[in-house]
Amino acid sequence: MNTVSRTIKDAYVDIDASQSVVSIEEIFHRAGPVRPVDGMHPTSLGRRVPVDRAPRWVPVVVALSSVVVVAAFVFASLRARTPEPAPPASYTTVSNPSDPDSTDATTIDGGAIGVGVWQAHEGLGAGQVFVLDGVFMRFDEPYARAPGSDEVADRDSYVWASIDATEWSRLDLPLPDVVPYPAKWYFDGRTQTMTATGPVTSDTTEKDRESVTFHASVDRRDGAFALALSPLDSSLDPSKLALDDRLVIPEFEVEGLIPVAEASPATASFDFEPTARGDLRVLSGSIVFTLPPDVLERLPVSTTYDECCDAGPLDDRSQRMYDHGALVAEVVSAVLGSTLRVEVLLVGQDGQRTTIHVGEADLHLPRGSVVQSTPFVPLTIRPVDFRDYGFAVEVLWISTDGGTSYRAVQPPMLARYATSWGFPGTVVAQGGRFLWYTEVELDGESGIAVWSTEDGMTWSHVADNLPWFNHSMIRVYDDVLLVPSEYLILRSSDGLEWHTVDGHGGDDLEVSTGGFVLYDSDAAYLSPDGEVWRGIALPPALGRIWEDFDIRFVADVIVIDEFDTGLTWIGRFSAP
Amino acid sequence: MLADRLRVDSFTEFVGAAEPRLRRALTAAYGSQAGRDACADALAYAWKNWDRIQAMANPIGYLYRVGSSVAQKPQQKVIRGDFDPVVEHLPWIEPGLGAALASLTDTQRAIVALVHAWDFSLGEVADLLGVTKSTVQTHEVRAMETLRRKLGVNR
Repeated sequence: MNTVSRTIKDAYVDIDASQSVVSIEEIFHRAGPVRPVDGMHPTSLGRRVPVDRAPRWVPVVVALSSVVVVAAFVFASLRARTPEPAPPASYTTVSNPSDPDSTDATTIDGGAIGVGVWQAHEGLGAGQVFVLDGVFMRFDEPYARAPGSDEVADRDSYVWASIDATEWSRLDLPLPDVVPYPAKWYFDGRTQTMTATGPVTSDTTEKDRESVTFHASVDRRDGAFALALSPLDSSLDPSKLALDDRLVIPEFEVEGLIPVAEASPATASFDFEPTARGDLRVLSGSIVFTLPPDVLERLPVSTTYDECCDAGPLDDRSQRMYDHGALVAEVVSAVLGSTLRVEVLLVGQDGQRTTIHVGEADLHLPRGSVVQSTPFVPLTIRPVDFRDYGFAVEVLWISTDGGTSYRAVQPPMLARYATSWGFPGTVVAQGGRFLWYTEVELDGESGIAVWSTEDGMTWSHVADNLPWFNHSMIRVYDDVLLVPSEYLILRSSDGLEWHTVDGHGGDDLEVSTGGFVLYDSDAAYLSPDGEVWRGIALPPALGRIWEDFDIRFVADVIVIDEFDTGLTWIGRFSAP
Repeated sequence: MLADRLRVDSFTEFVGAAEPRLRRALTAAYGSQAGRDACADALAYAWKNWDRIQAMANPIGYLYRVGSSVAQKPQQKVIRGDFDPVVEHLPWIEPGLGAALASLTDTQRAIVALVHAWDFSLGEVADLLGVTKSTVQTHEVRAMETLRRKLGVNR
């Protein structure tokens, strides 16, 4: 642990030790008398309204959570609308405060020259600009402060679209009931997943952040566009799922040796835990079913849990055993959308997995899909012997939104060997396979080990002792992998052989529509492939940006949202 | 009666699990006194709205927002230098730490404390603060750079 980190830890541990725990009694005292059930629904403002006035979208979300509802909204051509809609009042173009001519030409370190024109736009609650399928999208903030004023405007929120980030068209968007209104929208720009939270209130100190997540896509034809929103999930509480819900298999079809009708009754239960990604993974699962003795006699299986796990390389978190009857089995589960798919594999007496396919059933989760804010779910869980490194459970994460832009694998860390406190490893999708980078320590030496899989089931240890680099900063676009540092970029086309890209370095590297964005406080570089870079002059304000901002680009149009100031910078660049 | 009892029990269990994380996060962001007060107020809010809070996917993250709102109300005296007394209490660690931490933004300070003091993973911090993991990482790197610079150390 480094010096500063150690110092921080010591200081805060002492702070914590000096504080008194917030007791239940104090909480109740501060809360005052509250009637637990009084037919009133607490609002986000602390008011209490009758239950029948509770936000109506909540139950609707639940009801629709397992159904993909596509709300398509066709809006007119951005160009053909007459008259061209005026920009929203809250999105006022202002002169560049630092450069009235809004034109800059700067020689960028590395030889490239970017000639840019920047315009600063008062955010005024206009919301972040996103790129969705090559179209700039912006969702109004329903409540925003006027410039120089503390007054909060209470107004409708709209969705705007533009192909050049300059001329915007307001979409006539009849949002479905599942969208909390007014809503604040979040979109990470890569996974095609938008999350609407709300209702957003004018009281900015308290926001109801119940959310609905959609898969979003833009269909662009003949100058017109259609925005499709498909609800992905409800706000399912994983802990409640683990505690309360026993998933009952409605049908348990058995193949092979076991007649379908004889494998009953069957029940299943699974424990879930949220992952660092905010996803949910199956922590453990069990299926209990009873088979007739004559069927059991025909099965080449052991009958006790102990025999199972003592003999075989089975991780005790990934499968459970079933007594009284009793098959030793491995449960392979897949959570896809609102469905949990369960497969049971028998385990032979020698402890090795046989591949007898026992059964498969779809379990419909009671409260919709299990994904809260990301479209990734665990597809498979397998115990695997990592040779000298020990056993681990592998989880294949797969997108539920149908998109192919991003997939990830999140196997757990090899706890005994991982040396980093924060990074159990980084898994990237590259060239039709997944590569898992993790820090290992063998014989006192730290290094990067790499495993590869194409299906999440079979893993190969493909590299060891790669030169150390910050694998958590690996960014992938179009199968090219980059790792930035302050002075250089490491680039790889296969994830194993790395070389440096001359002349470039930066603090941060992100993937945006169109490729990579490398930036620091002085400059930004864009590249579609990580090899050829084009420098752009940053807007005057960016040099002082040290906090949150997002940069997105399509072709020669770059949009930078500067969160601290609320400014949105729009730049158009062309090579000189 | 039974329903009320179960409600109290479930909330008490939640407080037992959530209070340390919530208090530490708010303390990190707003100082020890204001952070603790914000934590108590946020949990009081949770009790008043328990039926809704307990159904949330990320109740601690939600309550962190509630606590942040409380701490940021104008009438609240949030003293970022609230770390100073602690550092004075622990002069053998690093006398300049309080001032260095106070120079960070609330978000940066919260992230640094959660990651380095309480060993939260970046994903856990992201969940708690309602930001992306990438944002957490960016803040963490920059905050540590700032701290190293202000403390005059290289690592």
